[in-house]
Amino acid sequence: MNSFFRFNGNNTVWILLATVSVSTALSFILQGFSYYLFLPLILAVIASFFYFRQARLEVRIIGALYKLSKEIKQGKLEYRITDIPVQSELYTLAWNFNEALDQMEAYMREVGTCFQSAQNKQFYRHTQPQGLNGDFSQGLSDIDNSITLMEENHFNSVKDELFSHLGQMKTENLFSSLQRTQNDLN
Amino acid sequence: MKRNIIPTDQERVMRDDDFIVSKTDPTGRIIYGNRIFIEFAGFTEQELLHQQHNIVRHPDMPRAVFDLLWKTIKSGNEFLGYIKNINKDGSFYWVFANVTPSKHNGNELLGYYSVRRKPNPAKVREISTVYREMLQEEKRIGPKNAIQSSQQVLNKLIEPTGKDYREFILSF
Repeated sequence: MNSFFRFNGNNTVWILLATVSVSTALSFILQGFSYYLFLPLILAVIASFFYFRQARLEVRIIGALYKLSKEIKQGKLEYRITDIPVQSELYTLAWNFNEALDQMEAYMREVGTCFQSAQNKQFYRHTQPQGLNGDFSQGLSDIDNSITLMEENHFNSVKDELFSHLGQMKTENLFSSLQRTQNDLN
Repeated sequence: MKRNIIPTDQERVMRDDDFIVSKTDPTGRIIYGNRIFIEFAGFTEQELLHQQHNIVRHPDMPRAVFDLLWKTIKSGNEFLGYIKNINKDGSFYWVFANVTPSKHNGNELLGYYSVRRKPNPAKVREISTVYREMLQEEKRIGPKNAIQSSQQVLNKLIEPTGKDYREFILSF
């Protein structure tokens, strides 16, 4: 995993700290020891401390985002970023990704469950678009129409089968009646 | 971490498009909860992670419902049902829950995925009467036969319809 914070950011801060340290040392050599010459160095150390503390939070989230995107690419929708610090600049970005995956995973599961149920002739299991947004919700409504069609087709084929069975019974009955009539005439 | 939360009469109502999502490991420990879950549960994300999902279970819920839930999802099927949950501050909120198993390559169990939507308030009123009856039966009969006896209360409602539990609850 590569990131701005870990490489460019951290290195820049280290270089600046080193520069301030060298310039403080040079000041001692040129002007002699004096406490106020420490001031820039102290400020630089404090600023660096806050920077590294924040960068550590961001780097963890970037690492998690990296893993999340890789898993999505592989078709795995399970992973989520957890333990997201409120102070992180990437807080909203991480949650948006999590919640987008929630929508995607719920959609995939709904589709799977509904088709599986339709396959088992449990047509009562309609899709549940409530809580899903935009295209996810629309997609489920469209699939629901397909399931209704599948249900109609199923009942039509059952009806046709019954009619054909009935037709066969009628023919058989007619045939035996004709045979009886023929026997009677003989 | 089992907390002693004292239930109150204050209700939290889900907004129309609210979508509560949580994930657990195969033993029921929370490994993820979305922001709406965190809001309704009243705990912080850090407090919820690694806790048993029953951290939000309301004492008004009959044990038989959770027994049915676990049996259903352990057998690889989806569970649908009305659930009354509790917030950290003791208030309650009703959800229509859908729990499904998460599997890797179609067989290795990774955990469970639960989605909760806003339930129809009229149906909540009806089911809460049924749950109250089930809970009374569980208390009357004692812990040993509580689940079986309480499930019979539910079955008495389902059987005349000729449906199974899932179809019954969807048409409820």
